[in-house]
Amino acid sequence: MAELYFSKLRPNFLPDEWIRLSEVWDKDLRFEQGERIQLHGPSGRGKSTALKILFGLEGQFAGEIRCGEQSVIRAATRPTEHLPRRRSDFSAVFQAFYLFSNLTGWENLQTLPPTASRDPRSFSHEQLGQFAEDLNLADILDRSTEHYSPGQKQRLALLRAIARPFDWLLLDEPFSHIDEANTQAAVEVIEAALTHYQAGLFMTGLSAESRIPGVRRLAI
Amino acid sequence: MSQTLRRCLRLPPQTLKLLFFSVSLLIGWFLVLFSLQTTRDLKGLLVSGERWLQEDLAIVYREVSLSDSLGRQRAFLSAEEIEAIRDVPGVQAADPILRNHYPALLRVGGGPFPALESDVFIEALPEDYLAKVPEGWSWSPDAETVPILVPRLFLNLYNFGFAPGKGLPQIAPDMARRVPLRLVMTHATGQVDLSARVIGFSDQITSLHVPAAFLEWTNREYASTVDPKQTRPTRIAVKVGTTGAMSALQAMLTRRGLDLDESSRRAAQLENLLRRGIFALTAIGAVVALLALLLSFGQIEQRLSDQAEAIRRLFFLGFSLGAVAWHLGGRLFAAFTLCGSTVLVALYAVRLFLLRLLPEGGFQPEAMLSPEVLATALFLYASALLWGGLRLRRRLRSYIC
Repeated sequence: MAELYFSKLRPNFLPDEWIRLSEVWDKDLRFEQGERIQLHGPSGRGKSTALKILFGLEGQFAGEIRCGEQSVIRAATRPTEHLPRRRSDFSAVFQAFYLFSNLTGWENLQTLPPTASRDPRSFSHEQLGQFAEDLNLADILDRSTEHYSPGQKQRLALLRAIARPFDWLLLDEPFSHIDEANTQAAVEVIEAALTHYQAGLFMTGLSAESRIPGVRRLAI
Repeated sequence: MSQTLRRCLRLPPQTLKLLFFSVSLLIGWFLVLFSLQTTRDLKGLLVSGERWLQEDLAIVYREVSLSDSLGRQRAFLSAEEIEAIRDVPGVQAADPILRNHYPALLRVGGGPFPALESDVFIEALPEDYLAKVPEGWSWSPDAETVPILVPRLFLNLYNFGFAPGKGLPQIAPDMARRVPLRLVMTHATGQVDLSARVIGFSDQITSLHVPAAFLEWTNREYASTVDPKQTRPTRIAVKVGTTGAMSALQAMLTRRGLDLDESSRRAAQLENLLRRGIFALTAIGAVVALLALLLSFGQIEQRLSDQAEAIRRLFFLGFSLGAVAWHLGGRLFAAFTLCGSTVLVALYAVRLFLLRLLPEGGFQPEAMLSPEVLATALFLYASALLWGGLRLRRRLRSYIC
């Protein structure tokens, strides 16, 4: 998969007025391979929903997303069809983090589908350890994530998301729980991962201001 | 992979429960397959596939005495005796078995079939006494053909005695139904020649049987005797509802010097008992197997509910549905496989043991399990796997979003 095409995409539950004002909903959009997109707008306009539709976590929408030439995401797409895309095409960090609270930080990083963990393009154990150092996680990786703070969980989820190859990284308000110093470190880690995998980025934020350089901003 | 999944899905070992489900399933499958194999073995002994007469039918007759042989008396039953039989509590019906009152001759064959003819004695039972009314059994004076039910013994006598002795071809039952027959009835002024057709063979009768309507009509039209004594019934068909009624009937018959033939009734009762026993065994086995399956599936679903959040996280990361399903249900499905194999081995072993107990020269079925039993075993195993797999898959799919 490389490019993404949004075709008349619109959530079923948003008012028509918001859809009309949006630069994303009900439009035909094309996103190039490696492109960086920031969806910004006030709460409730569907920023997270856009990422969830891409990742197959949301089914209440009209229109479709074409992923490259073959794969199509529609409301009627069977749930099992999203799983292969999650293994190779998309990697994501949502506000819920989806970490295993019964596992340590390292164990969470190692919990990947076999095809992903065996991919030679994946970051090595040492590289991940260095990223963990950068994100101030190295000292707590051997502890159960049950006792992590929301900021620590968000950074660990980010680290797990970039641990294996992807075409598109989906980040839902990725710095919402992270302090200034760690945000800068997280930006550098994201930059390194996008460059390493030659991948694109979809991220959301409340404002048009972005910490990631070179993003295309779309008001939603 | 399995190590990763084991780490994420904290599943407590449930060896005892698994053992309980496996043993229950094993017992259930064994009972079902054992019943099926027993039915296959006894198929040759059970006649209900060709049961023409009702199973509560008994025949009342008068013992033939020396004076009967000397022609001074005839073993008839009077109308008063028939009424007395009907009056016995528990007797549901009693009617004379009709017989021909004119000389009758049956011509067999012609064309590609060997031609034979023989004087015959034909009888008829009212339709109420038939277990099933065969297709084509009805008869009216304008009918072209007379349907005949033939004692299987007649066919055997022909195939194994008469035909080899005369160098004639043997005739299979299906072929015999297509052999052209002529029933020739002689009356005071001549002969009537009617076309007849064999509609079936039975071990339950000892004479040719035709529809009662045919004998009533032909006796009225062609009877060669006008002496009412000669047309009195010699045998009475009796329908007896309960065993108690049978005792009362027996007592009454003894008082009046009459006899009762209930061999057909007893054979039917024995067969009925055997069939019910096998059915009960099958039903118990099916219920046990079904309960074992339902409980084991319920156990898996309980595990799914306990681990719902962890499963959602695995699907979030892109783990395949098959991998998660196998991790959750693999042990159970392996247990199904073990149960299926063990049941077949146990069935064969029990069978060999039981066959050794049977007397030599008697009923000796083959030691090998019948193909139907093996196919059923495969069907049960595949159904359990498919059913369990589909239930597991459907439940897991609901966790993907």
